[in-house]
Amino acid sequence: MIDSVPLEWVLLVAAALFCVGLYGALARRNAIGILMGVELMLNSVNINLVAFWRYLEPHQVTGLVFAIFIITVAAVEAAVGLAMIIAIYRSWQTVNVDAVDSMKG
Amino acid sequence: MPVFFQISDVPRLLPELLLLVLALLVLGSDMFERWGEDEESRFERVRAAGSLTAIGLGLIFLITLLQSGYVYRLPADAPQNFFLTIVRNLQNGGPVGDPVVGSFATDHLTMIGRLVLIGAAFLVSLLTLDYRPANNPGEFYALILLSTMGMCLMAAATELITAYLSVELTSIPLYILAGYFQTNTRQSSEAGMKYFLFGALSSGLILYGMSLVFGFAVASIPGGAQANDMTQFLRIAQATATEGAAASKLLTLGMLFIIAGVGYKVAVIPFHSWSPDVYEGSLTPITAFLSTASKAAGFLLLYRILVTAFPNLTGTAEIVSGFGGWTSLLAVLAVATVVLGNLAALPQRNLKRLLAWSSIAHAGFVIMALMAWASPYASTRSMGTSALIYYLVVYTVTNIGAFGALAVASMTVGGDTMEHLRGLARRNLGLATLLAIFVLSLAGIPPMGGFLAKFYIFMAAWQSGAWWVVMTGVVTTMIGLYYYLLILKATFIEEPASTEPVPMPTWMNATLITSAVLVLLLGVFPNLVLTTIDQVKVVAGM
Amino acid sequence: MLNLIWLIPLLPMLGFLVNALGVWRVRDDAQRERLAGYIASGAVVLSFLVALVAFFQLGALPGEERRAGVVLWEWMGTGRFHIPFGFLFDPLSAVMVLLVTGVSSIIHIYSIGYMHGDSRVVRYFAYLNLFVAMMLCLVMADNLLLLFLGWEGVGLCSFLLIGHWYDKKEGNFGRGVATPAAAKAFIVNRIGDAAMLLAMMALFFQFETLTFFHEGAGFLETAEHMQVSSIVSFLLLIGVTGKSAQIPLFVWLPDAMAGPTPVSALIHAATMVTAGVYLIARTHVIFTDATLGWVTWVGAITALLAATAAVAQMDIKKVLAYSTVSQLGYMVAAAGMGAYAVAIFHLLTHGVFKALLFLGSGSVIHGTHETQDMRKMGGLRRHMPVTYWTYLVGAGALAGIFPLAGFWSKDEILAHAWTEGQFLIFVILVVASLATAFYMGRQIAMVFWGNQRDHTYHAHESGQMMTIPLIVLAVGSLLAGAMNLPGRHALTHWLEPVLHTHPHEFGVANWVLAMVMTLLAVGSAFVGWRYYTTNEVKIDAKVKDPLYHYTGDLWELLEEAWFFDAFYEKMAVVPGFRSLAAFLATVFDKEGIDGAVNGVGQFFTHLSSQVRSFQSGYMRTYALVFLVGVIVVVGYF
Repeated sequence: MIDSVPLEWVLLVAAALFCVGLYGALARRNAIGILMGVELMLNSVNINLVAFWRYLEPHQVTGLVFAIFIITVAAVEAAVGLAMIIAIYRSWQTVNVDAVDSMKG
Repeated sequence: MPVFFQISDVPRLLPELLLLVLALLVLGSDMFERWGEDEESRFERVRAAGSLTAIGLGLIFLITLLQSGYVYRLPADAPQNFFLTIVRNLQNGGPVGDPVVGSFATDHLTMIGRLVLIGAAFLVSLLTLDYRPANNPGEFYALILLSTMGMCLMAAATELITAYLSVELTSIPLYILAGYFQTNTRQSSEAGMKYFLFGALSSGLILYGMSLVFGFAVASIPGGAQANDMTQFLRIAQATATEGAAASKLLTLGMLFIIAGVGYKVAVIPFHSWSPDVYEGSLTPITAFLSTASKAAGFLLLYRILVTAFPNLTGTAEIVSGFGGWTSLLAVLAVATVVLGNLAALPQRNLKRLLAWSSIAHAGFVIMALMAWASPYASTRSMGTSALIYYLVVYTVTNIGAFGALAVASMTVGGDTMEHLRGLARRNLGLATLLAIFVLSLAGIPPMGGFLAKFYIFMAAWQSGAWWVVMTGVVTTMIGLYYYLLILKATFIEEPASTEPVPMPTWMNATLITSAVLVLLLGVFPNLVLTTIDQVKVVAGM
Repeated sequence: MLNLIWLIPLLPMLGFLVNALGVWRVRDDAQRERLAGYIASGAVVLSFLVALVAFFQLGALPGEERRAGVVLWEWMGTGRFHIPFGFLFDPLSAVMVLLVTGVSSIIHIYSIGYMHGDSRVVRYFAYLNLFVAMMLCLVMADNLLLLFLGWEGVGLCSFLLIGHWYDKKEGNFGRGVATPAAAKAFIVNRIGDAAMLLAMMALFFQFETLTFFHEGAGFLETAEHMQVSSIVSFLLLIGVTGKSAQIPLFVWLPDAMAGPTPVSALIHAATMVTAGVYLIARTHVIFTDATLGWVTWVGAITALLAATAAVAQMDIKKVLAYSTVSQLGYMVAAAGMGAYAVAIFHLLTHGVFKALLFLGSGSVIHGTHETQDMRKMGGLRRHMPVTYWTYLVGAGALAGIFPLAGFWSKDEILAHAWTEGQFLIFVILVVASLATAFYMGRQIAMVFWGNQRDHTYHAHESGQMMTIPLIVLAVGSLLAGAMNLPGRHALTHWLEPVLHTHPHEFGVANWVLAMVMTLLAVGSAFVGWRYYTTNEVKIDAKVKDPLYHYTGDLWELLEEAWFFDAFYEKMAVVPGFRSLAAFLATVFDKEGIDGAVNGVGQFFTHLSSQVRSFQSGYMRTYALVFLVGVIVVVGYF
């Protein structure tokens, strides 16, 4: 089954996902949208790691463990991020990042 | 060869464990105490949490110092008694041995890193003692402690997963701290959000880079599929030494993403844009923490990754013989950083912002120390290492002092702009003098530590052939002098808005005087730390 | 005593610390002032005595062994990089130390009188002490980095002292406003310092050490059998032009006159500005012939331009400032021609007589209630006889009239140019010395002769605290030439172990030259004096100088010192804004634009506003910068 889908293809999918996430992070004005973009980027990393594990070192666990750590930390990050966005909403009445620009120069 | 964690490894991680315990202690003691609601008891509450943190950090610093054996080393034939046995056991966990389970090195670099970072956290916690009451001070100080623990791990990490986790452990508390208590919640929440979103973006980048590097290592080392230590830096170095590695796009791309991600942490141009806003919006002691400890930890991690994982991709920094490798990339980043950072600092009227840009510029100087790897000679490289660490030490002390002085000024005068600081010398000569010492050190005027640090870095970079980088550095130092002089002009020469004397809060005063004495000591007796720093070269990457 | 030479810089440093940490707390004004003055002066005088003892002990040693070194601690030591914190006392350091401590002692004592009643007198004496300590560190350093510490330190003290009267919004006269002048001095100096830093890097790259002498391994010792790159010495030359106020970086010195007059005497005439000449003499081994050619020309042209500029100045201190620049040019030119001992000789005599002139001018300013414009003076010789006579001695010495100090040293420089066959240089220096005699004649006439032209003040002689130092220095100016009389050449022989220069044969040609030069100097000074005494009625602050009638617009050229300042202003400002004419207008409209410094500042401000426009406050712009960064970084490979 593995032989039918080469590793490169999987990596390409991950790269594409990474780019989609990056585009989302850059193009969205909504802070939550940016956060979702970042999550996509992290997921592409997970795909990479799991693919490397499955194709190159199926008898070890390094890639898997790395991916699990990333999923966990991403959850933490999302929790903090959402809390921060709520704080922004409380003091700015908006979650549009372009409107939050009191400091510049 | 599998490596297991042994109980004898516990003392080697003692500083980090103690930081964790202290964080829980601070959190718990705040949580389980019943506090009143009036202003008096709120102040009491901050004092309780703050002084517990400060005392604890001081103790941990001393324990780490004792453990490192830099100041006192127990002789082998010392008698056996209770205290000396404790010391002996401590020092057995000193800077020796292979990395713990291949992930945490407890070498000299880690030891010095711990001392710098814990010391910085200690000074910062002293700075916060005189601040206005915060909501939930226990959380505030616990976050500082956890972040410090993450920084220590960043300095120690010798493996990709550990490196990533330690970066996150450092960053997540800092996101919250950046948005923590400020009278101006709009500004601080903006700072917190900008910091967080950039942090998340950069951790995406860094991870993508790591995944590529990991994949490359597994694929290129013969028998890599059978080993479970493919994320270790040494294994990556082994992979980069294989044939065709230098030409591999996958590997280079991975390395570049990692550099960009860590570049965000240390705020080099073009990954800097978050930092002026975050520095301005955060509470000043937290800004001091961000601009020193967090940056120093970032540099230590960058140093260790580049030197131990990618020693075969160094390239050259000479402009004529062509580019290639990470030294030439860092050369370009360093030049851009010192030039743009200094230029952007020129017109600033808000001193926090000015110092933020100046910290960016300083990051450029630190990067120059890594130029030394463009030279193939071990002696030049070790010069670069000592220059890097010496600069970090001096810069940490100086910048904490500078931001601390600013914190005092803005607390008592009411603002951070040049206008607020006008004529400070006539309102409080001591504070103005302390500020002058830090500013002169940042500007690189002898005999302050900042001068020797810069000189040493320029020296190391010049030796490696990166003379054009050094030239830029020297010229931009001149530009930098202009805005540092503006600060001195405002404080010493201009007329004050009012002649009312400015009070000096006790603990801040103590912090500032300590820092100032250290800045002078580091300039006049640099050998106090240089002899210690010199031992680093024995382990890292050689 | 030779083991205790570290006391020499330490004593003034202690004086500084005591004044800075202790004395300013004294509540009583009069007591505080007295205490500060006595402590500061005492520290320097003690240091002078120590130096004197050390000097005689050094003299007792045989010629080749005259080098005492004390390493206090290892300053920086890691890997290949070792720099001691050590002091060196050899014949060259010894004479410099004696000059610095001697002149400083006198000026400290004079300052007690001059600064009487100043509200910041403690700070003044503290800085003055710190300056002396730093200057001694400079001349006694046994390695280049420590020398650089002193080099920067004196610059910093100069900055602080020029800005002493920072609350003076307008100078007495001209553009001498204290704050911008101080900043300008500091920044212009830093250009030279940057070159010095680079020179040190290059030196270390070649020699792996920055120590002068270290049992045969110091770079001055190994350089004798090595080819040293001209770049190093050229960079050092740039450093010298900054500190010693040579073309093209001399613009800060005339403005530095905004500081108190004793400061001008000590820092901007006798000691700090001579550091460049000392540096050339100290490191002459690494100067290549190519660089020495540059050194000579820089010195000679500076000597000429500054001497002519001094002719057209109206401020009593500005005349002396340009004269200092010009005399420094002589020293640098002499050093460039390889006559290091002669350069040091002129440095020493100049230190004495220029200090005398500055202190004399300080006495005049003091006695006329802060008047600096010579057009408002006149006839002061009747009111202040001591000042007049001592000033006359100083002026004669500067003009090079036999047998005063300046005559011997300047004559040696000219003789050297002649015998070396540098005729063009010789002619330039002769013309400069004619101009020198002329402007001193002019100054004497305008200040001391004729009748008082402005009666808003009542002129009086200064007190003993000020006149006694004048007399001491006048005696010094009379006798200082004796240390290197032709035939004996005591100083040249004394310096021979360090500078490797041998005295010239003294022939008939020298006699002729000396006589001709004295006659020319006397004649030129007489012309200047005569012209301004006979045309006294035409001297008026509202109209041009009487000489303007003959020189026409050339006068303005001289008055503005050949428009160097204006040139820098333009150079620094224009390229950035040529496209933005409107912006240019606002720049020049701005109040208080001061020469190159603000010009450069404006230029960079403009550049930095470009950088700032990226810092828009919008998250997404930042993210874009970040992404572009990543793409550039990735695309770079």
